[in-house]
Amino acid sequence: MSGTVVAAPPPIIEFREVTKTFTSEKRNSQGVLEMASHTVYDRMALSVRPGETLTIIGGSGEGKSVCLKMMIGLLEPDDGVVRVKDQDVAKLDPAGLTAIRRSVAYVFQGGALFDSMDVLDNVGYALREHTKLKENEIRDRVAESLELVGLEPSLMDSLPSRLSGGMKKRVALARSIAMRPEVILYDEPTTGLDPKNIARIGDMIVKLQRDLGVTSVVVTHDMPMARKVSDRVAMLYKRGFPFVDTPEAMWSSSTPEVRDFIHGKIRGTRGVA
Amino acid sequence: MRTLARFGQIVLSGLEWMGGMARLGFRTLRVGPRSPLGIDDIARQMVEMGVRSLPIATFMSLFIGMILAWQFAWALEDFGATMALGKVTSIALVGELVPALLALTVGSKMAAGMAAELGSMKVSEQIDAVAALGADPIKKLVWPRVVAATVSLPLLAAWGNIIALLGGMLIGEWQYGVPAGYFYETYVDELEPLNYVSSVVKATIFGLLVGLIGCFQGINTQHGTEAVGLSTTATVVATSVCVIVADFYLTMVFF
Repeated sequence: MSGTVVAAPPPIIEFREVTKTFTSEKRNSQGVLEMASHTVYDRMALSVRPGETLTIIGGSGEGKSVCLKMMIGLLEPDDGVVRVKDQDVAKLDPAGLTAIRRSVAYVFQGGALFDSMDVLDNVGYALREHTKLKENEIRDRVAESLELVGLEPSLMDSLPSRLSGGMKKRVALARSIAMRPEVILYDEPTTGLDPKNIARIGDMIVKLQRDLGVTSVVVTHDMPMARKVSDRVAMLYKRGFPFVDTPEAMWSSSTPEVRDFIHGKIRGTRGVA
Repeated sequence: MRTLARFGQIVLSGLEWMGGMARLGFRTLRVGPRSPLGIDDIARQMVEMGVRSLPIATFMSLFIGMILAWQFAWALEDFGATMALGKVTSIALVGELVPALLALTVGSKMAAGMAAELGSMKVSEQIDAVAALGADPIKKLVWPRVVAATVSLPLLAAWGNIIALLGGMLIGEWQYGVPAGYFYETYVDELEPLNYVSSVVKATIFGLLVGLIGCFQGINTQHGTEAVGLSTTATVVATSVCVIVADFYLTMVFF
């Protein structure tokens, strides 16, 4: 599959020949523990260009989030190289990893807001951790970040438990942009939201890319949103990304695997509603 | 053959668990003392674990003191030696019962609390979020809890020793006619500096174990809310076993 040929800038994130297998213990019928393994990537390659929004689509449990976690060193590949801003993430020392994590923000699927902290402390967490900003400056930056995601700064004193699902996602988004990162990784940002909030999150992703010039990698199952926010779409299939192209090319693709996935068709069930 | 395989697996998982605990302990000692020390976080955890455990520690210690005094006095009465009550209860209470029973009850409560909190954070990806925000989860989450448990338990044991003494005194005076002042004098006279040291050292080591076990179980919680429950239960078992085994070796060292 191929799109328009343009001179591409060097990738900001690049996967080269990445293999990742998970092993877990499982009891067999005789009650003896056995090791079970599941390979999610086999010599996988993928690159993310600076300033673009790349959306990763694929079946549940196939390892889309694993891909994001490898980008910031939360998981390491068994084999191959993950390069972010021209650095091999697996070979970084703690200081190098911290530097990468300051410039690559991660928006977790459930928000992963700290329950015991209010919105101010959640959004200001990285600012307190990595900057010498004074308290009033932190409050200003938190207010600014909340406004960028369409939330009132008056929410600052609220605990996450008092927020709705959509608000939690947006606070998580505000937390990720508080440090003004170069890259934002969105792990299923619309899961569990109503259509209005899904549209709102989609608009936020486009707005943040436009206003802050960030590179975005979005993992989602939401096809309309993938089409709306993406510059390119990568489809995870058989432990790799064999299909990467523009949304237009992907949506008009005649490749059965791509077409069936995007349009939600189940093979061999023709005629079944 | 099947039994042998199971036995081998139990031994291997035990060794793996101990290895994991040791690694966590070394990592905590390596990254924890680096500046900033995280005094605020440690203080918050000490309030959470120590101050909030004061009522149960007081209750436990009072009853430990009363029960032991009652049993000893009952036995001593046969020999007309109830006046020796303070003397015979002191070493058992200070050197063994107060630190060990507080570690088994209050310590297990602390460890289970840590495992449940960190386990919930693990399943809701909050621990990953700490790392993703560029902080070290060991420094931010494990270190304050381990320090707080290590400091809180000996302080609670010191408080518990006083309360247990009062408990023994109450039973001696009201039930067996041993004057409170006499009970106190004989109780304190019997104790040597080594007994106080052993009480503090035992409680400190139990506190360290409680902190490490609670954190280790918490951050190694598997996926799902069911896993948090399993992890918390395993924490109580592991804490009890480790405290008793450590108590045995420490008793060998001190006596």
